[in-house]
Amino acid sequence: MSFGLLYFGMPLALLGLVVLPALWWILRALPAPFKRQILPSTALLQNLQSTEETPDRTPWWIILFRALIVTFAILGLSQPSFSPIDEEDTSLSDSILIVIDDGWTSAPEWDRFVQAGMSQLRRLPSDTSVYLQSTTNRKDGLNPNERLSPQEAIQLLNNFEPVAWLPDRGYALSRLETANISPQKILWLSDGLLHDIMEPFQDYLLGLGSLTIFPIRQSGVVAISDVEVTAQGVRVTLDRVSASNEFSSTIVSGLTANGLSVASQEANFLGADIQTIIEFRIAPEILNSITKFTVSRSNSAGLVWLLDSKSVIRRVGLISTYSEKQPLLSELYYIRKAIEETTLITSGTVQSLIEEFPQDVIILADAAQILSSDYRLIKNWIEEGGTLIRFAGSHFANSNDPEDDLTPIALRRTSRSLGGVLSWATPQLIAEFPTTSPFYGFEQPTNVLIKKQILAQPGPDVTNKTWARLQDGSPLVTASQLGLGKLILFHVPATPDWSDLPYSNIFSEMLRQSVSLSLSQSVNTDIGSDTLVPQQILDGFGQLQPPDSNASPISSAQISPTSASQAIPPGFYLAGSKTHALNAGKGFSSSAIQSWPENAEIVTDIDRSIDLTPIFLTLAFILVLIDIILALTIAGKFRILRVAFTFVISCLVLFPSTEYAYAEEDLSKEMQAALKFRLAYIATGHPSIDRITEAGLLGLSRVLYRRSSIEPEYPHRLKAETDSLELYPLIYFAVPDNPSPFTKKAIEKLNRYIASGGALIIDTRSGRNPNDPLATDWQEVVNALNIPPLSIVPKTHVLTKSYYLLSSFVGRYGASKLWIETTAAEGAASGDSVSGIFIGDGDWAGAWAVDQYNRPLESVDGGESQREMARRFGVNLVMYILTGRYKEDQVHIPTILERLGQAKDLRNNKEDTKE
Amino acid sequence: MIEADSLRAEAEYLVRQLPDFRFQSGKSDARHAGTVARRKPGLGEKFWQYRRYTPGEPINRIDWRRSASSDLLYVRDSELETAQTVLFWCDSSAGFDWSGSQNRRTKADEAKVIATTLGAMFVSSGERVGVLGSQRRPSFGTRAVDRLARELCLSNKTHFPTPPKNPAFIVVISDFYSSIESWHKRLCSYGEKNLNGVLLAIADPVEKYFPFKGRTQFQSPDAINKQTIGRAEEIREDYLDRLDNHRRQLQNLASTIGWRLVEHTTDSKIISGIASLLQVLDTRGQKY
Repeated sequence: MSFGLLYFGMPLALLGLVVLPALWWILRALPAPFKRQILPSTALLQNLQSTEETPDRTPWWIILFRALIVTFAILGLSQPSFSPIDEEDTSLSDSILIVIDDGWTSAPEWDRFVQAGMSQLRRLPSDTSVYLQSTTNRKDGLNPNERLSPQEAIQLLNNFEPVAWLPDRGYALSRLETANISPQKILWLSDGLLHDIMEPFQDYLLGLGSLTIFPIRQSGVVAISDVEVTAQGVRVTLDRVSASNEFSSTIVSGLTANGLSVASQEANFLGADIQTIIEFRIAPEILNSITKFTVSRSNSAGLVWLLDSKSVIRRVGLISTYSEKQPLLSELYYIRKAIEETTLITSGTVQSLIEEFPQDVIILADAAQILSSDYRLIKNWIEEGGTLIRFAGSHFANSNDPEDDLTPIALRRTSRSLGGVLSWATPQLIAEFPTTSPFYGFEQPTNVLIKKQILAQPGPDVTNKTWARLQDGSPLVTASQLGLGKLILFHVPATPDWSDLPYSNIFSEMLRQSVSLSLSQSVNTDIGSDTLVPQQILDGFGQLQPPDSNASPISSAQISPTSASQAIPPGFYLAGSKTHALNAGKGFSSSAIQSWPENAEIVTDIDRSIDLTPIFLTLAFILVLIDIILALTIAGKFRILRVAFTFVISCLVLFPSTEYAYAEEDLSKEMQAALKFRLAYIATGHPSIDRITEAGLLGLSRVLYRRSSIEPEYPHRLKAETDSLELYPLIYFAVPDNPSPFTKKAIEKLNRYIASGGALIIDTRSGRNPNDPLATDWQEVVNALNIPPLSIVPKTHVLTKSYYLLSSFVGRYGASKLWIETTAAEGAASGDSVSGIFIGDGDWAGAWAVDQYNRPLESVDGGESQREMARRFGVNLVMYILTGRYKEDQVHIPTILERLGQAKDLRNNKEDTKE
Repeated sequence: MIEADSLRAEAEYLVRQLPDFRFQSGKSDARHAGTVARRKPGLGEKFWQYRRYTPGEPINRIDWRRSASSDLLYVRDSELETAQTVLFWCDSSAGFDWSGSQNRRTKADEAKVIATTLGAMFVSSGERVGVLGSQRRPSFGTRAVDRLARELCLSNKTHFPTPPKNPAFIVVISDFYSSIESWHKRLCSYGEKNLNGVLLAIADPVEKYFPFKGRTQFQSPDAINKQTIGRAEEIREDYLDRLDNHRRQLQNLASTIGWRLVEHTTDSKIISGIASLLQVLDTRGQKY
């Protein structure tokens, strides 16, 4: 329905305007809503009535304002459009055919297409026959067999949308020929591209009647025709069909599944190029999160490239066989550091890595022992395309498993030491990488010394299989093909024990290169012969939609060669556990129609009508917002807004500064602790205990300062939950009488502290009751701590001689007992097994406690001599914790010296117990 | 709701600002013995006067020691010592425990402070105080004030109690917004028993000045009465007339039983309310 130059899509909505005066009248007549008031003397008001009601006090201009809002909303809903051309096109006779290219190439200009068609249709007399024809091969396409009225055609056109594949003009031609209609006028809404056939189709239309063509000028990027994942990142190919000056650059972005742009880059077309390639350098883990690439402000399926889950990241499995208690000494730590940026790392057992989480690469560190049963498993896996990277090392050298043939070349299972005490050879540098090696081109490191290595058995194939060698020619990295997969062996461990290699950048580069070589094997595993089930499909505008009824599972054979069509719409497909993407623009290679037939009329703007709907609705919305502010202002509630505003601002301004202040304060304590050695204790919350503990640690600190080279600063008081425990080599905890258990967080932190080499001294202070030494309530407190098996310190333990020679560990109470970790007590054969936990009942802090004038604070059972012994124990304890077990080596010295006849002197010296 | 302790504290504070108050003795008061000297001869322990012996009086009343110093016979009169019982009643309805503004205390709290202050004053002058309708007997001594304060704070929503058996002075504190008929019914029995008393009407300024405007629904705190008024400012005059009328009727009611009505508004100083009440009590006493 049209009024003059205005056309209304939904004229019935205008009836709503009738309501306006009624609304006005009602608003004026209604009394204002009453206020509620409590009044005890309400009884006095009985039967009292005012003669007039208070009318609604809304100012007239507000009512007018709101009426305006309603008017705008009603006008907006009636879908008005303003078109300067109005006259009915009487030149047209009784039939018209409208041909629409409805492939994705038309999608960017689809609104103009529809409007052009509509404006043409609107101007037709209502008795005209209209035929519509869409040029793509689709089930729900427009059928030229149907004779429609202009009104019906408008309806149909309004709901018609482009599809995500290209027009098939041959198909359309056959449809038209079958329909055999003879319209006088033909309007072809063309996407301006050649597609499969052009001439016959054009000729046929010309033959039917007078042809008007409304073409799109394809000036911008038409399609993303390829996206290739390379080792460095991604290579995106953009296509356009004509070189134009208007357009030369655009932005291409990589989006994650939730629409976040994680990579974007500008694409430029130079001169008359119709294709440009842009390269993204994207880290693999980021690339993995990208699901599609799009051209900015694109709205066509061809400008969206879906990226499927074919692994662009290499999955690396680390075989972990021992607990990583000291992470910095672990081989896996170095391996992780080297490759974690570019790969997805899983650790697990051989079985789990191969069977549960299929890996592209498995790295076997030196210490990882493979069960003989797993050899078969790994071997099969390599033969199917896996890559195994191994590191040699002392375990590797010592193991003599005859079944272990998982090495690229035959090896001598002994290590060669270069530059040791008993060796004439000097540590070797890495030689230039051989040209056949994948490492070729890497800079030859000049500062990486190899001190030890596993040697290869000389053989004819060693040279071929060597990827890196030392300057004396012995291999450092060797590799061989096994089935489809690879075996790569580093002849040194991944720890710096044997070489400087793990410290250097070349290690990381070599490892990454080795890993990336495996890529070619696992990525190209094709989708197999599975059936592909559509998960999400693209519509013509490049939006992902749930698959409709037309989309059915397809076989993988169908998908690879051809481009998209009705049967295989572009989108994501699920094949087994992998998704496979089919893209609309893949291999796009059409070009623009250069010349149109001379006897056809070419129009570029049929319709100049302006859709007023959004203007009116936006106006109405803005007015509603103004109205809300007005209403709040009038009601005096604007304060609330202001308060809220102020609050937000102050939050923004204040909070960061307070946080900063807090962080700084916290840091100062940590800095103190990190820069100077000091003892520390855990605050119990009992002031008297904490005071004594602090005084005790202070006393011990002073003793240490005076008698040894340990010069501790003032002790720190710690909260286990919040402080950084790892900065303190030893932490003292005096259990109070009625202890409250540690919080979960504290337990967690303390466990980590003990596990990472800290020393926790738990003083139960229960020595005064020797009958019940350790069975008190303190156990509840430390129950959740990860306490290893404990045993009483043996008489010969290093703790008895780490500084002073002691026979007992007395504290305030005569008979004190001290438990330490069983492993540390037994003195494990190797390693630095210093006990991480000490539990005793001596109340040593009490014995050490001094005031500021160094006067003891607490009495000690055995008087001053026992206090001295307690202090000596303290010194020994700190020495033991700081220096470990090295003193144990001295155990045999008396015997040795005795043999040499000097025992007497030594004994005399030892009496002083100082050294 | 005010606490008994702070009630007591505030009462003490107010008492210190007020002059001493003493009930004038009335004839009816002579009946019960007490400790308050009434400045006239009567039953008591302290000496009041010697007077000439009137023949016909019992011989044993002659004070022989005084008579021996002269020829005349004297009788020794002691000073009349009695105690007045004062009973308080504070309205505990929801409408009374209400304030028109958060900055003002409720009428009930005001009433309790006034009652406790009066109680403290009376106790200090030797009277007995208590709560009307309470199980506890009126008492004197310092503890009596505490007891009074505590009992006032127990909100007993009981009906207006029947007159006590023993003579007492009654102080009724309420806003008296119930109908005059209901108050008439309540107070008549007191008048019949010839009990004396005073009515203290406490009002909130909102009730007194009716500062409302626009369309308003008025509601009593107990939600019994509801009234929607189209334009509140229009009925203001009518309301004030009615309030005035109500007070006048209440005044009449008080007069018929020989009581007095005292008005107090919570926005005026509490001490002035108490003072005007004391003034009324004073003049009342002079009737006798």
